[in-house]
Amino acid sequence: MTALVQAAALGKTFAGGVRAVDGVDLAIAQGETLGLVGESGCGKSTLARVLIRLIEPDAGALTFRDRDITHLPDRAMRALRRDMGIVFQDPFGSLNPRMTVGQLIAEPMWIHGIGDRAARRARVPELLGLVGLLPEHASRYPHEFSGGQRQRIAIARALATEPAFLVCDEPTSALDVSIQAQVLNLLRDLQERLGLACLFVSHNLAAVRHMAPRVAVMYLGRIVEEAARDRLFAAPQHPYTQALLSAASEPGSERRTRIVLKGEVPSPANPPSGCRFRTRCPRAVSRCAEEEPQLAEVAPGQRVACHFPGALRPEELSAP
Amino acid sequence: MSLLSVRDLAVSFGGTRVLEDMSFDIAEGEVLGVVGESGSGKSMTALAIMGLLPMGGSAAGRIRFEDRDLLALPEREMQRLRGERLAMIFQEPMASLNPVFTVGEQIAEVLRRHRGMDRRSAHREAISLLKLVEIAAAERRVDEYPHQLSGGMRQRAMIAIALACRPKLLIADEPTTALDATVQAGILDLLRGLRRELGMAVLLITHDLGVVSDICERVVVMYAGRVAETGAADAIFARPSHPYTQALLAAIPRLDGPIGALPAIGGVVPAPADFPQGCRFAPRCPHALPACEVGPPALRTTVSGTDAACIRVQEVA
Repeated sequence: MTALVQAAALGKTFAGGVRAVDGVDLAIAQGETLGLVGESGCGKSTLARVLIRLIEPDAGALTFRDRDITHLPDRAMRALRRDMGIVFQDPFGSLNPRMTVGQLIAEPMWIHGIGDRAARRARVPELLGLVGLLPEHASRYPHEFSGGQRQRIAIARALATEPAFLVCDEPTSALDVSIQAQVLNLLRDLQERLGLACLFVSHNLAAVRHMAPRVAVMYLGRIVEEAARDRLFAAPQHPYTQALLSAASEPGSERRTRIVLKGEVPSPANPPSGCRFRTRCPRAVSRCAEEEPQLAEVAPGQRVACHFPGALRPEELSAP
Repeated sequence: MSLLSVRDLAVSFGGTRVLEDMSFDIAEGEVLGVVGESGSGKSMTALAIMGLLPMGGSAAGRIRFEDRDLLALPEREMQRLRGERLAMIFQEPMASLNPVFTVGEQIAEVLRRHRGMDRRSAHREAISLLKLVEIAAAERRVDEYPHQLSGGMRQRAMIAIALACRPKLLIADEPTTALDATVQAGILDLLRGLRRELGMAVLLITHDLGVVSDICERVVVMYAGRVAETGAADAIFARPSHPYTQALLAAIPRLDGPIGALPAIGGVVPAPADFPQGCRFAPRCPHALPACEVGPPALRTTVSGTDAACIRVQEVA
């Protein structure tokens, strides 16, 4: 399986030395959905934007359709953008309030010179139908719609150029529970029907499980674990993945034994030496401070960046 | 006797009723969850109890706390009650804390005003309150400003301020919504512990059924300004009876179980100006009959022991 999008040792450091993304390797195949989970500040949104060069990487290499696009000049990059779409978290901030829904959806086609005016206009109702809206919605403005409907408009806009790769950055986090399910279903359905490759970024583990057959977990700018969905949720090997899973509250289920992490997330401007998770890890020993663990395969398709992967034992959980 | 008893509470803005027929009780030391989506009226319930409704809002009905009727209380007495017997924490600790005062000064303000402490003993008490909410290095943190603290620590500091006078009831409005999962878990553990230690009742307002299930004994599920279902948390989660509770629980993606299309609820929550005449969930309800549109259904007891506002609850539960 050749990758559509591939990152090798990809990095991004912001002013002030904040290493938001640091040495990330990942690949997304044509038509595949990869889930990316992590808590705030872990760099997941930056990574998502770097993958489509909305933010410029400053280390490593990025390829798209086997072409190195790490330093592709703007003009060439612009032509490639019709193959990439993004849906943001906040459908109130991402749609220009002064454009009609029809204009919003036709704009990407106009920018990329797809079809003539009439063809673009004809395509708008098709796209509206695709996301479960009605043709007459084209003449209305974003403020006339609810949050869930606005997110549908944003999805239609992202799909207007028929991209091969769609980035969804917390697409349902701003929506009510009853609306979240509608939008998740729509995204799943579109992903399957259109054969989209997708990066689904979320802090919500259950939503990621629902959307992505393969999941990567990020902590302080690095991917700490990556595995097939079933494996990751049933047998997480990195202590951080285990802590994250144990912290999730689910209605009606027995409360799991929580792995309470000590301390706070360190600053990404000054990450700990060796393993970045070691300051909070119940299993850390001196080696963890000296040597940075690399992602290594511990089971077929499961890669973990930890010197001592494996399920935490009860006595490790109660350690102070 | 219950600590707080709310009867037929209604909140209106001008001619628009955003909340009506809200009744519930909280016993001493109990944790009650009020859960709902945006526009359900859950935050208005909290603000009405605190006497902090936004400009233009008015509350009707009865709110009895200890032996006082809060809706009839003069503002001066209400002010004394807030902070002393009743306290509230909000979603955004950064917006509730004053950025130009240290955490210690903000805790001390409450202690000096309500408990008449002098500067020095208020400072000392502030440190012990920070220890109570499990902030490490409290002696140092007490002199720091809110921006120097992490989100989780800020919410702990807010809780410390709220606890300064050992209130009988703490109202927590989405206290963990802005926090990461691992931090949220810590705050919920803290609330659980405090309530046990101090015998304080907690009214938890949230949109997150996971949080409710984690910490609450009883739940009020709200939809579009009315109570849909209320009862013991265990019963509601194990055997929801109201079609809305059922649909809501089914629509949440889970960490285990089958993966596939989620049973989504069609349509959207109506705005207060468009609330239907009859059952407010009827337009989105798979079980709705013409009779559902006649008037708002009364609460009736279900087989699982909860109370649900649904005329078909015997058939659909």
